[in-house]
Amino acid sequence: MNIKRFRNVSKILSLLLKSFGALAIVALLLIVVFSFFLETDSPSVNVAFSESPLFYFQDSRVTQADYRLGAFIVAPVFLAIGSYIFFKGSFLFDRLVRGETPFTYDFAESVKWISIILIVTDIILPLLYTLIVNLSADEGFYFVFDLSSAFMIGLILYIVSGILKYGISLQELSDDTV
Amino acid sequence: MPIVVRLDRVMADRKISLKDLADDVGISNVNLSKLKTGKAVAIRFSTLEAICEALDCQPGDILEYEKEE
Repeated sequence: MNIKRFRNVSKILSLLLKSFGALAIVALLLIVVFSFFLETDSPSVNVAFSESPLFYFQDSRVTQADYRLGAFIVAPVFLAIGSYIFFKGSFLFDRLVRGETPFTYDFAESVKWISIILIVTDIILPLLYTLIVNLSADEGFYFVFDLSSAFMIGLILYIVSGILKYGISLQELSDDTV
Repeated sequence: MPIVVRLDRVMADRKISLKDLADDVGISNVNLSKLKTGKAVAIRFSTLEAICEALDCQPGDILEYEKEE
């Protein structure tokens, strides 16, 4: 295996993840600025779900204002969590660039926590959006529940962290065998 | 651990140092010390064979089983 090429790829991935994290922070700041400081006619933030979510019910009595309120609250939370995940991921790749081994319990635990955040966020945020829209709406009912690619990525990363831990315990057993 | 290593006893009987035994067996000082102090989790048959040959003893002289209460 070409170690130098692997470290270069890790460096690129780390920079890429940092850029995504920075973009998420910029988007978050833009939402805050447009919402509270600029007087524009119709600042709006949208939360987009897939074209065919798992569960979806929409009542025409729920207004656009209700959806916008839900989006104004959920979108910054989503962007903040997203930027945290991107920066956390980039720090893991930084460790690989420095030549540290990924086969430590600490590294595997970091991967596991990223996966758990991805899974929980993907489940909780649509439900939170639903709750806010319904609380805001004077009449009507709205419900959406969907599992996106973030859920699958989180699941895969959780399995990867389990495999990493198994590999570490096998290595420890081998190291402790004389 | 139920398996107790009595290597230090046999080494003292044969008057052999850790370094000399490690050289004869073909493993590092660190690994032999791990075995002697009971920190080893497992031992290869090849290593056990080499130790018995170097010390002219039986595996039962080096390893004992003590039931855990």
